[in-house]
Amino acid sequence: MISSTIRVLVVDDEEMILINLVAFLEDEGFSVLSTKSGEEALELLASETVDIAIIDIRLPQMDGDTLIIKAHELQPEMKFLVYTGSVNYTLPKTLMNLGISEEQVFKKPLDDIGVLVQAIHQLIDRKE
Amino acid sequence: MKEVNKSKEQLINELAKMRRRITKLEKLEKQRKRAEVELRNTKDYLDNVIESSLDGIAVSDSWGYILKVNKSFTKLAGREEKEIIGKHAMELSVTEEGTYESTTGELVEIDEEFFNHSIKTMTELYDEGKIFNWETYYLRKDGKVVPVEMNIVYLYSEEGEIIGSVGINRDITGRKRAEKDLKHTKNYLSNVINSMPSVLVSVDCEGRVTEWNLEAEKVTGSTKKEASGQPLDKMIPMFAKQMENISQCIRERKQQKVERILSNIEGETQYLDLMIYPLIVNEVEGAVIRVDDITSRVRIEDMMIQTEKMMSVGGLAAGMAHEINNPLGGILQGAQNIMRRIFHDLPKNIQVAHECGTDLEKIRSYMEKRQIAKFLEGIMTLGRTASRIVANMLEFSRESGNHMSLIPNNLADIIEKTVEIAANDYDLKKHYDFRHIEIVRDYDLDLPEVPCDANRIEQVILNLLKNAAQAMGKDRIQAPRIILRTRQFDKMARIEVEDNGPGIEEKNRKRIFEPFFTTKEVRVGTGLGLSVSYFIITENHKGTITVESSPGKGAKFIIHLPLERRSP
Repeated sequence: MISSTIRVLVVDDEEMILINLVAFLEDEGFSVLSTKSGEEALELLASETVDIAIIDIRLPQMDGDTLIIKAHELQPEMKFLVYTGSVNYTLPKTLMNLGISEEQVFKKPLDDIGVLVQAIHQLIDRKE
Repeated sequence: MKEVNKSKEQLINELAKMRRRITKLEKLEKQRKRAEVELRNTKDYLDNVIESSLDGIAVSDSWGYILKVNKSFTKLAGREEKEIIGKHAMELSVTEEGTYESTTGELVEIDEEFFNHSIKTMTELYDEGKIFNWETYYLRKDGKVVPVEMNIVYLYSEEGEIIGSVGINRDITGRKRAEKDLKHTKNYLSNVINSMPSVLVSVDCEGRVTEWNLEAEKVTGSTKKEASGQPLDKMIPMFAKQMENISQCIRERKQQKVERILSNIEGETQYLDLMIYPLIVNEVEGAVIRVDDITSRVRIEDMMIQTEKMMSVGGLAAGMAHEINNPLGGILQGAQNIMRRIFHDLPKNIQVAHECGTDLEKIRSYMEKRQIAKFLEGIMTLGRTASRIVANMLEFSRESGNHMSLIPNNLADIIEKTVEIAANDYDLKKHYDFRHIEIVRDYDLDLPEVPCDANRIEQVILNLLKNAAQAMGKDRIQAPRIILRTRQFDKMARIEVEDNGPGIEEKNRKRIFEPFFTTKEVRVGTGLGLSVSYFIITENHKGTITVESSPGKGAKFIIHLPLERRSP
């Protein structure tokens, strides 16, 4: 699948992270949606289909783990990447049950955001 | 003249004369009888005196054969009178070498020396005519020996010839027993004093040594005999500073405690506690000084303080790291985006530049000329450095079992691999070629495998090797050498990394594991290497890491790792 047909949702409450990620992914040709909270993300997912979401864990109200579970209920085909600043983050069992593995967890800061692009392609291409 | 021729008058006279004579004779007879009684009385009296004496008295002839003894003597010698009379005095004593039970209850060894001493004493008696307070033994019939004290004098005739001797013998069992008890008590007390693991010395009011226990001998190398009577500060120079405290203690009759005195004996740092208390018998007779080596206690306390400090610093650093990661992510990503949007030929870049009435070449040219590209690279490089530091700091909060598994590993293999890495380390080569260092391997081949995270132990050892190499390189050590040692120590595996570099000053040694503490030049070290090592060993592996060093003597890092994993 070429990048332009892949729809990515980015959820992060830190604005600079958010706009930088969006900018990078757009430059890579993805079609990018973004929200600053889990609640907004779920609202968006009610009407928009997304191939993959990059989700921060520490969010203002609903946390990233919960968001992933709810998003999965809405769109079971959707893939997820966890992008967190919490270094002690360990993948909860509930998420592993959804087929999410450690390779899908990224710790901030990344020296090169390019690794996220690679991860997106790997997940989407595997799906095909 | 015949009777018949005598006149009546004459006869009467004679008769009277006879009567007078008879009366005189009768008087003399009476006197003699009285004298006889008196003499008998006196003899009985003297016999009585001798007989009733509580000391054993024996009278001998000039050859030493016993003529007469009193009751006390028979009791003392443990024999009947008839068994004694006619015997030589020496026969009553012990005549054969051997071990005898004494009336004091102890066993007495009679040897050649005893007989030599007896002969010497007899010679003395012959020369001087008397012996005063001679202590010897009699052998009783029951086989026991009894300690006696003897006084002997010779008896002389009017012509000055020896006609015999009188010996007064006293049973000194009680005294000997008391002496034995006293000796025992004294021994016991001196054992108590000598068994003490502390240096215990006493001094008189002038500060001269009066008591000096075994530990004092051990520590100073001077015997009690050498120390006795010497000024204390001469025997133990470090006491020079304490002499005033000692006099004060004696003067005020108050005990003094001086804690944590830092002393340096043959290059070994030691901590001592000093207790000075007045020695009072009737009056103040001096002072007793107890010195306790509390080095190991201080080390443990230091380690505990260290642990506590490290934990709080570690927690703080880890907390900070969390908060720094997000903004740092923003900075790094922002810089990366700027670089991409200027220096990459993305279609969108070309399109937008065109829309703005320019092209990428012009924009890039401006950026180069104004050094903006360089600034951006700076942001990215330094951002990444910061990111690495933060990642290191995060080691501080990593707990055992989290993110890592401890797998049995051969320590020597890990160390060897690390030496290999160090030898090829490019950064290290710039400052100091590791291959110039002599590596001495002293591995315990019987050391069992140690449960550990091989990569992290490698990281710790590499860090120690690098530090050693840098320190030795900086000081231009002539024959740089690193000794790598493994040992089993109790239920721990022990790794030692020892160099012969410049060593570490005490004030630095205390802070060496603190995060961001460094003595290296700026940019050479971040001050995180050893603190990360510290957390890897103590937190991840539940081990310990310590350092022994003094300036000029090199440094030795000691790591202990548990051989068995403690169940959580």
